[in-house]
Amino acid sequence: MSLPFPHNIPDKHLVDRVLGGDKQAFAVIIQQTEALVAQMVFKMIQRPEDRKDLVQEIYLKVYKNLSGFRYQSKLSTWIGQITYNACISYLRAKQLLLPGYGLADEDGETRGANEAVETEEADNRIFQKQRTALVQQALEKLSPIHRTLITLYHQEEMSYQEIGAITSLPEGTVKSYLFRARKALKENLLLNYKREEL
Amino acid sequence: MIKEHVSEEDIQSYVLKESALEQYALQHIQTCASCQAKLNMYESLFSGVGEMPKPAFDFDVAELVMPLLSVKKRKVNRLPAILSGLLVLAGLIGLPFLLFDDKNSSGLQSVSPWLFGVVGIVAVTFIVISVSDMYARYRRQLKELNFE
Ligand SMILES: [Zn+2]
Repeated sequence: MSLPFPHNIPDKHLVDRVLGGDKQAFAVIIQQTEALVAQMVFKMIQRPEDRKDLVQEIYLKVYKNLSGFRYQSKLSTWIGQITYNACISYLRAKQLLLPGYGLADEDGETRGANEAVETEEADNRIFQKQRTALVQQALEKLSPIHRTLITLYHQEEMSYQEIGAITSLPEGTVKSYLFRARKALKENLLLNYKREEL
Repeated sequence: MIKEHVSEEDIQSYVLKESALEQYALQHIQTCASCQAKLNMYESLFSGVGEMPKPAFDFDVAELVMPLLSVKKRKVNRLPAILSGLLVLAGLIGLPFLLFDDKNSSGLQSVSPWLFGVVGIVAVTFIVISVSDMYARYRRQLKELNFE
């Protein structure tokens, strides 16, 4: 779909055009935010067939509520917030979200990763090619929320504040969740490496 | 040399360049294989996460969503119009009482002409605001039509 819009159009201009009845402007909003939505949906929703329904639901919600957007954040952050809430509702409905936001799920398996492994300078032998695959596997073992936080911070390069806006969590909580997520991720990675060695 | 290991939190922050490490902690890391391994592991991990391919939907999101959109109507703020309408109505109801002021009716004696004047001014202000708002919206729509 070719769009008669240049890149980096201010949020206000796009929103005003959509509210004025210009549907094409909404296609631009989709185009500019779908990468972020995909990051979050892929990290939170495992079943590919459910992702499509959810994405549809997310953008219809964005469209319906656009007149309520107050520019207190970037439009993409606001859409990220809608995406996050939709994914959380989905996980709750499917009972895939443990109480306490399912943050403790990584601990069980990772206890096996002891310091002895770390001292072996395991990292030196993880070549970049393998590394991506191993990191991916390690990330998959995290809870959906930890996975999302890691992705938003390390891949989307969002600040703690922006992540807080998306997840409605205080900045301090985002920081401490991220600390635990990174630690669990590191330990999962060590375990994966150990398995590769065997 | 300090024997205590550097905390994971401090190592993370250091690798992420969020905060610097104290001199003693840096010295410790240089001589501690365990802390050094942790530091290397985090460096490797963060690079690895950054290198991961970003996911993309295997369907066209715009094509999926766009046909489902209804034509959006701009929400018109009718509050000023309603308020001014009510005030004008109140003024009109109050007017005969003021013009034919019966000295015996105690209820309306407190309504002084200046109060009526204030109400009138407020009503006129609201009308002016609503009309200018309508005009602005009309201009905007014209502009959008030209823009298309
Ligand atoms: Zn140490």
